[in-house]
Amino acid sequence: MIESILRLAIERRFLFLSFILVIVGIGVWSYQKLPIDAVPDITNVQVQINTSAPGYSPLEAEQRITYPVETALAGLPKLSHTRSLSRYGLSQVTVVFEEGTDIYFARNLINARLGAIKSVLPAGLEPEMGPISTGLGEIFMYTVQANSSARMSNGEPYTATALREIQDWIIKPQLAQVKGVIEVNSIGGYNKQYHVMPTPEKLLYHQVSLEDVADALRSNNDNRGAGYIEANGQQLLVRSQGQLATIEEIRQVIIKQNDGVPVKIDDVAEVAIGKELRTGAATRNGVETVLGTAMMLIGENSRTVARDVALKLADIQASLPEGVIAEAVYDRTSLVDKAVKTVSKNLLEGALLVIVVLFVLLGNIRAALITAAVIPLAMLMTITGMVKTGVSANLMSLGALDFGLIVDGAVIIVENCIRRLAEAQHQSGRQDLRERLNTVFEATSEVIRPSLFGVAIITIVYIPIFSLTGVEGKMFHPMAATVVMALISAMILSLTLVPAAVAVIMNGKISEKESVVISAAKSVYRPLLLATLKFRWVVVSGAALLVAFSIWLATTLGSEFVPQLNEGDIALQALRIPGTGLEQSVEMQEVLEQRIKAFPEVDKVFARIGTPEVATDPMPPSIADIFVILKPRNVWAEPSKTKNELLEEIEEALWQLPGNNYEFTQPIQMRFNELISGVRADLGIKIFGDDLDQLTLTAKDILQVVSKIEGAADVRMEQVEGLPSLSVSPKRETLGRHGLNVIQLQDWIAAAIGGESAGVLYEGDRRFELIVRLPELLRRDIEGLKSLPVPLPNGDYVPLEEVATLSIAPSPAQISRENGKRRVVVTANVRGRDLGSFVSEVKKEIHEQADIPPGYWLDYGGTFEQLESASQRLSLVVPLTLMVILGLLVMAFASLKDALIIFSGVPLALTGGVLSLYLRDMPLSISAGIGFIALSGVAVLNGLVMLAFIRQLWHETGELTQSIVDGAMIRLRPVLMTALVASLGFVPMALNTGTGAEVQRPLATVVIGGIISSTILTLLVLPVLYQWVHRRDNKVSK
Amino acid sequence: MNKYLLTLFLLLGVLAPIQSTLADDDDDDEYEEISRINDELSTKVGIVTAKATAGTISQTVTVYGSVTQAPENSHEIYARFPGIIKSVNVAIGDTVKKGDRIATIESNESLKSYPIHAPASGVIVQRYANPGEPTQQRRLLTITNLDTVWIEFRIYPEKQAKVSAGQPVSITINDKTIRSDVAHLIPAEDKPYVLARVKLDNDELRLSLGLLAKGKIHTNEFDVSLVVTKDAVQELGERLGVFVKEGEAYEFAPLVLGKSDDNFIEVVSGLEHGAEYVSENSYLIKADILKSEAEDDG
Repeated sequence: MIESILRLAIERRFLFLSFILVIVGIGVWSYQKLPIDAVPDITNVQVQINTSAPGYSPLEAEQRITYPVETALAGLPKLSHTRSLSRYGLSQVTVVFEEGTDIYFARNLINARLGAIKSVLPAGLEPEMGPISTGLGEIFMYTVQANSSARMSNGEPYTATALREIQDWIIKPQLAQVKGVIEVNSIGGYNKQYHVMPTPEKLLYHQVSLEDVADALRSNNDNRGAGYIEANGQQLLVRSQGQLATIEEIRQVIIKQNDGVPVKIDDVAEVAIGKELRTGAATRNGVETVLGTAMMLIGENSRTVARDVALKLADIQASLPEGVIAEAVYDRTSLVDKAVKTVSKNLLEGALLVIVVLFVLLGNIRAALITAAVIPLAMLMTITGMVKTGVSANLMSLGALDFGLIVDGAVIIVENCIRRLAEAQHQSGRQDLRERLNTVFEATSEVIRPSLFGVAIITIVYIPIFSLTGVEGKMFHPMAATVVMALISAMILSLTLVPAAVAVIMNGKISEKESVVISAAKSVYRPLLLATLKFRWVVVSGAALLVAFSIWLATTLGSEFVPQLNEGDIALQALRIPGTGLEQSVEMQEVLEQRIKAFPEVDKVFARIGTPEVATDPMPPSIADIFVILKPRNVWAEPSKTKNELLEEIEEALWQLPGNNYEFTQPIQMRFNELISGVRADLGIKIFGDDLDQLTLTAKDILQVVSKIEGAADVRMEQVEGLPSLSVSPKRETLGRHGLNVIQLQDWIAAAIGGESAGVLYEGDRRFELIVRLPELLRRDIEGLKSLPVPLPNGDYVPLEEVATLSIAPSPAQISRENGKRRVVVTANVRGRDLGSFVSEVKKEIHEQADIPPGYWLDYGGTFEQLESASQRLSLVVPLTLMVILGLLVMAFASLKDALIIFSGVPLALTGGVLSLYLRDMPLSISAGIGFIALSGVAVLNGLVMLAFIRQLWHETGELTQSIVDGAMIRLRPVLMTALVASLGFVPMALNTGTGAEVQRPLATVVIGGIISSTILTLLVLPVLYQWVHRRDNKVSK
Repeated sequence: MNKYLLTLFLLLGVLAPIQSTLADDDDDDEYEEISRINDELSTKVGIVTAKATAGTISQTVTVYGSVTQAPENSHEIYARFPGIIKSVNVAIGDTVKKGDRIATIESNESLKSYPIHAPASGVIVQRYANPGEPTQQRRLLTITNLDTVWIEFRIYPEKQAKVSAGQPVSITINDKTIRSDVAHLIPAEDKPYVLARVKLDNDELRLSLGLLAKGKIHTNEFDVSLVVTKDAVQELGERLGVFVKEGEAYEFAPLVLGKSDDNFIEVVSGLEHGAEYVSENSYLIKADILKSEAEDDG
């Protein structure tokens, strides 16, 4: 089959060449659609269901909302698990689906289920699904601020409420139209509300209740349409306008008549524009502000969307009142641009280096160009493939592309063609077309099998990466997929286009000169090879020692999970003790930001405190997400200062501030952490059950047990309590004596302290809530609340403390549930002992010592689980892969011995990888691990090229040692060439220091080091091994 | 052999990093009850200290009540002897002085006319009588004097033990504050509360009857040897206390607390006289001591 394809390609060479146009066309078109981002998206398939429940405490939110929602979702197809969070005023259920589930399918299912439980939920509460976005979704943030000289229409400086109004009603509607933006989330300032604040004394005097006030407002605030009438042939619409529009109109609403005297709102209450009971705030450079976040739809191109949003925001500026400025504070474009620049620089430089090497070593410019042309074509095909398979272009997915590896197949074919064509011309002078085509066909089919074979092996080596799951899987699958796609593209090209191109282009006189480099290398190589063959024991044991040494060296290297992409900006979380109020938090935040801003390197600092309007990240008011945007490095006073040094300085300055705990991270990284949010410790023991107190008790028990076990570190318990609450418990007996029932009392408390919505005020499109609640001064005075008069049905009143007990008591700050059950987690890390034995000891000890009441159960989770499954899978997949490669080799050589000899190149290659890591002072990481994987493939290919030829010679001549020397000498060029192109292709990547280079650097370093060692050792050790293994077969082989 | 070596290596390369990176550093759960903040910074973040001194605790209770008329200031005028009303000299709204002649009645028995004099100064608020009508046994006029009114505060059982006659009270009514004293306590009929009555001079206030008033009755005043501001007190480890400043260190001093009022609280033990304690923004110090507990559990 391969032959017929080849023949066809050569016969119909012009047709095949015209496919280039098709490839380019589709490739360029695909490129437009390729999602480009800085890092791969590691978010799982999840849907957040947020229910905003103003006034609900965590317990009530759980009981009334979270539970019904969770129960309704149970049993959804493809459901992986649910977890939920019930906080003050918010219930959030996160539904995680199995990987690969279509997000729209999932949302449809959820939507249907949510529709079915509407009647179960308390009236007026509406569960809403979060935006269709991922951890990479927060691509653009801006603040809305006013100049100090700017004035509102009433002559006063802009308030936070006014700025929020501008954000909500001018900026947001316009930004939401930008293609690819799924949500514009606001935080900070106050939603404008009209507040009617009655004084209790006046209410009593006029015999009016809070409910009366709210009712009066409700029934005096409506427009009605009344059909139409026809008059004189004209149609007249009838409508009655009764909506309230101004504060003055609200004041004039009549509540009731007392002895013929109307009681107006004005008589009992103050009316003013008030502040909502907000759940979040935003600050910038130490001043309160309004912060907007544009979120990107899943699968969009973040660079394009962020750029469009930025352009739109500039447009919007013109529509803002004078002195109000909407300014971008975070724009993903800059990061993506930098990352793209790094990647394209690496790829371009790599490609150039490869071309130069090809030219120098092949000594034929046309041949070099044909080979080099494979690079862009394979790249375009890969891009098409990426778009088709939904792989996004980012540092990871493009990070392992090495053009050297890609052109390997083409190099072998082209090299052989030139050699054969040159030979043919040498023998018979100029060939006619038919002869030339025949030569090309023969030359190609001669090497096509080994070349395809080599590429296939490199491809297979990447298979274990596909067995990674979870976060690692999401990180590295795109990388492996891209590499495999690129290799397959290259394979297809070398099977079709390359021979066609050779047939068309290599038509003149073919010159083939051995370049100076090769002849010099040969003159060094021969004596070396002879010497090693002589001292084979020294060489073999030396190699073995080297391998042993590098294994030891590998254990001394530090390790990290994945090298962190340097996003260029800093994100940190400031954590305050649970129960800290929003205003207190804002005050602490302002001081903190002034400190950060004092650093000359800092351009902007801004923060989100608490929960934004759409609860994509439900934080309590005690936590702030702070973003520190740095100035470009070239304007720093000391441009050589590293980001880490700056971080340390900032950290030191911040630790002096009282009351804050910090976690330093980076914007995208932080968002991923929030979304994935599983148990991040080695071991997580989840305790499930009903009663929170019992759960806490049991968790404390387990905490004790685990802390005592050897190797346990950082044992801690999830914080459940800690939110002080003012609880108003009704005294049922006295209530009854006064003729009140509990619900009346609760309604009154809710309206008086929390406020009751009494309708909406319209100003054009804008709508603002009308709230009835007690004046701020009364609400805040806890002692005063006790004597607040509660109206009785008979018109009399009684002080609150007479009918209820007021006390301040700690209550749950939040209730977490998982898979429909309350849970508390105890987490632990393990130091100085292996995880497996630790976990089994923990299980045993807990079983023996901890008292788990009936109805409560445990579940063990944490990273140990992933580790266990990953190592199980890898310990199966890796040997299996190796077996497959070995099988292929055995098939090719029909000899297990030869296959094993080729395999010996692998540990030898690894020594170089480890050494280069050590020399560059880099830790082991998954990136480096993947470098090792790629390296094994190259090493096998190297050995293959060498061995195949030696073997062929030996079979031809029957002279073992001579065949080894001759074969090694002839194959020196291809071995050097593949090694050189593969390693030089990675050099720019290894040396680059641009944004994102840190992710690719370890991989490139390992491959370069490994290829150097593997080449040297293949050239020297492999012949020795071959001779040693086959010395007794000498005669048999004939 | 090589195969295993390679397996080992790959596992090493891929797994070793995971295994050891996930352990992150962490503080101990135990916390010291002390926090160090340099003076410049503490001023900046708004920490204010005060010296613990002797002070006065003046306790109050908040009560509500309504303005009522003083019964002694309302006069209803009847005819002494039945007869025919000859004349009425006043109309509604007229001000009369004690002794003014306000009406003349012709007695049925003696057929003599006799005058009715105003029993007290005040304003005519009702007039039922007109010349020519028989008096019968009915009310003719009502004279009311609103120069003084009473406010009757309701004292519910929760507070009854604290309130007694003679205690000063500050009254907020119509957004004005007036000081007065509780004149006496009387039980209210068929009601669960007692009434604390306060007499008010209504000359200038012109309060109307029935108005609701809020009162703060100063129930007790103690001179105590040591007080701290109420805002200074924080709870730490289920104990109440204040933060004492020594140099640049702020240490938690658990206190035994006594009586308290709106602003101050008595210290029974746990603090020395003259000790410098954090009176404002003490929450920051608490937050600082407990900050290692703050974590993001979202």
